[in-house]
Amino acid sequence: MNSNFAMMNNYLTYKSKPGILSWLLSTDHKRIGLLYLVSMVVFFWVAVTLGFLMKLEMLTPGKTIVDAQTYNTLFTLHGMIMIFLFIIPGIPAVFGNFFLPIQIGAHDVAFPRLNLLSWYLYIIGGLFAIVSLFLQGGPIDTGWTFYVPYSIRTTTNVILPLLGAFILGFSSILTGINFITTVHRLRAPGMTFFRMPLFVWALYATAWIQVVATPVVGITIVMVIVERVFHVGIFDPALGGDPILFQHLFWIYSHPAVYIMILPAMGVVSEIIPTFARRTIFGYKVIAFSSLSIALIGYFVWAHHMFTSGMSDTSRMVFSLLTFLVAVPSGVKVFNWVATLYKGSIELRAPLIYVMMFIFLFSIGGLTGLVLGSLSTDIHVTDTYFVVAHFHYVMFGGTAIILFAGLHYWFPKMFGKMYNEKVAIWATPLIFIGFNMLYFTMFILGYLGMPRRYWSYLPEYQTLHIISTVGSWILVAGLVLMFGNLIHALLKGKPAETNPWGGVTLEWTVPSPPPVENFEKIPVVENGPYDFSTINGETNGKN
Amino acid sequence: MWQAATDYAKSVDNVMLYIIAISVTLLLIVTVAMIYFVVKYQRKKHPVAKQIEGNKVLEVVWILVPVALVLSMFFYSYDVFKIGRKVPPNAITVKVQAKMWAWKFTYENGKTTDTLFIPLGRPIKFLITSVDVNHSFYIPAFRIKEDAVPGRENYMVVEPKEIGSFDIACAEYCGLNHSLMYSKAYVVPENEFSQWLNGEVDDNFLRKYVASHTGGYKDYLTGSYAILFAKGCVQCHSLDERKSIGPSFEALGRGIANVSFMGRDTSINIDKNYIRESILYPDLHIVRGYEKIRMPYSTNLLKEEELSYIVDLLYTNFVKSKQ
Repeated sequence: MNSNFAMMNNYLTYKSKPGILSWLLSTDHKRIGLLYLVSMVVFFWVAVTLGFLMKLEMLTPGKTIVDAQTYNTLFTLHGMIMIFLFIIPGIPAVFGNFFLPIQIGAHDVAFPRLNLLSWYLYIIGGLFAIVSLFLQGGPIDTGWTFYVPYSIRTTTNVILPLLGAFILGFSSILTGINFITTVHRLRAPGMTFFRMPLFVWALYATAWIQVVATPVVGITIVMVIVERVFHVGIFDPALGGDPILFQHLFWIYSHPAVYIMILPAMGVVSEIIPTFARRTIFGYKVIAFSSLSIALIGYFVWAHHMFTSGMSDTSRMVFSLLTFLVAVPSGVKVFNWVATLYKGSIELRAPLIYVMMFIFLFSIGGLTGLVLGSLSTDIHVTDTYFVVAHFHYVMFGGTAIILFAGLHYWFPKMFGKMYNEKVAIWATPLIFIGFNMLYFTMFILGYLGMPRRYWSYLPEYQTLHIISTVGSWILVAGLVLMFGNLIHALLKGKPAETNPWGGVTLEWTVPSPPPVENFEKIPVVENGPYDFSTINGETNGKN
Repeated sequence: MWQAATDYAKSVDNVMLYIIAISVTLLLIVTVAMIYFVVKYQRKKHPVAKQIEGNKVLEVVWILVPVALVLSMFFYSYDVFKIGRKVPPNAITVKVQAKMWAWKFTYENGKTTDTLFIPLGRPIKFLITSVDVNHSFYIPAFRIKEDAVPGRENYMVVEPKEIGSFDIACAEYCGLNHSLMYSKAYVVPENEFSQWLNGEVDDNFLRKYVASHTGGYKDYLTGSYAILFAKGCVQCHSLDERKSIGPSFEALGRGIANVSFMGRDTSINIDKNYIRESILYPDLHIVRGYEKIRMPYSTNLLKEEELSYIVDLLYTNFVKSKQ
């Protein structure tokens, strides 16, 4: 394709095939990124609605709006959709697909067709879960963790959603393989590993987890299905199996999966802060290596989900110790991000405000993780609302808030339009206040002994539940405002400049929206990723 | 609800305080520094950034200090945990069997109950298992839980240091009525416990004993409502207007109940017959706004004279008094 052609066609308007097919059959990494974005936002709002209903039910002890069976279905679906269809594909599927090739100076990912297949597998997996809702037996009620023997014995539709998760696993593995190969093979001339933006480092570390850990859950799911269908004793003690084995296999994947969810978000933070502080990141190599060490240590902490399952005390000790150690690289990242603000030239724009919100919420999430890594306190608060609060601070306060930050950061680049920044900023106090009312109360509830996955509760917990439910209303209002603002910008936004924030990574050198082939000519990279000397006109940049 | 009824529970609270104190300090440092930098180095006041690529000393400090901090947390917490796992030689054993959705406790002499009675100041080793799916035996006031897993026998040790009654909850999701799988642990002096174990006194004696030694529901328990507590009615039916799992007794005072009867919505006059039927056949009339939940042990729990007593009690104190 000649360069003129590429320059004349931005990726949004370019037509390779008639009508909608030019999107559905596109192998362009940017279009696939948007396909993921649209489908993920849809799933996100479905799961938000389910969560909203759950909180309504929690307004009073006993029945408020739904019966116990419906509530059990609600939290199962809320968890499954949020985890498998939103947070896990999340940032890599949207921003990774869109910006990984551009940030390393490539035309596309290494395997564009495989990339499209990944999206189709994602959609098919999601459809399996949706179809199961309407079949005889009713929607799945096992919780997203599918613990056996309950998942073997319940009469609800377990097999279809499990198959869905199995297929989604392949989507995740293929994306991982694609990203690893892209990073190794398609870097532009001069783009050495230590000149890669930290977002690319984070995606790279994540991709390895996806490839290595996901097969374990795939196999585990197949075993559950085999056990349900053919009554082969694997996990159910009534058939001669071991339920603890299931928990081990499940968490061997699902704990590293937590890092699949959070590492890319950390990468986005490392992009946004330098741009708005106009200075190089503090401790580039430390941040890059902390991603790798999180990915590595993250494999060896899974059983901290099982401190009360009846494991030997020695295993509990070892997993507790390792869990404490995995907290350190995350902490180090936070320190480096804050240090990057030191002596910067800081412009407080919408994306940076979301990042600041992230640092506060994620720190609370991380620090309360210490309570859960610690044996004696975990045994009290595990399987209570404390855990629910903790993972919402990490996953929502962490990953989802950064997904929003990334949306606001890269929106002008992706769509070539600018949103109303005032509205975007006004949404943040709503989200912040609603979030903390909703989830901080859960820390207290948990320490007071309120177990999770409870349709009803003891009356003395009601006050805190009411605060929490009201918080959910404020939070949803903030989310509506934020998404509404972005949708409005899609339709009526002003055209965006090539580089509205003054960023220096490669995506800010191509037009907004980028042309189909990204670069007219593959750039030659001569600097590290956060070299602001040209923008600042400085000569004494280095010290 | 904020009780710490064992020495172990108090130690766990101390570990919690230690971790929280360090966490709050770190959170404050990070947040204050972040906001301070954003204000101080705003572009208007500080137009040109200083390009600082890192600082080896700082990096080493903020790797090593957190490592030291988390190691201190680990060792402190592990020490407490170890004490909690030790089985003292004078421990008595109580077997805990979970099923969907009730607890069964078996004592050393073979006696079984669905409410837990344990002696004060004596270590108790629970041997915990399940007959169906996973459950988790959780006593928040003791800060301890252990999963009940079919095919396995897990253990947990407690040494109660307070007379009282404490909630037992199921903490591992186990299906439909997971959230209703509550029971109580009554801690009584060893002497009363042995009398009870040998059949010299009954459950209600211990309940009353506990009630008279704790402030809580003393009046109710020693007064005319004692039976409603003893039989567990008030766990789901409150004595005041509070909405709970089942309709409150107070609501009987309205004289009329809006119910679903044989699938049709209707109103029914509340009389002794209605109360009696509702206890014997809880599924017959479902009060609007409530779920059809199996009222536990409704048919076998009450002897005929107890049933009549309760019917009279509810009618006299809640229905008639309002007319």
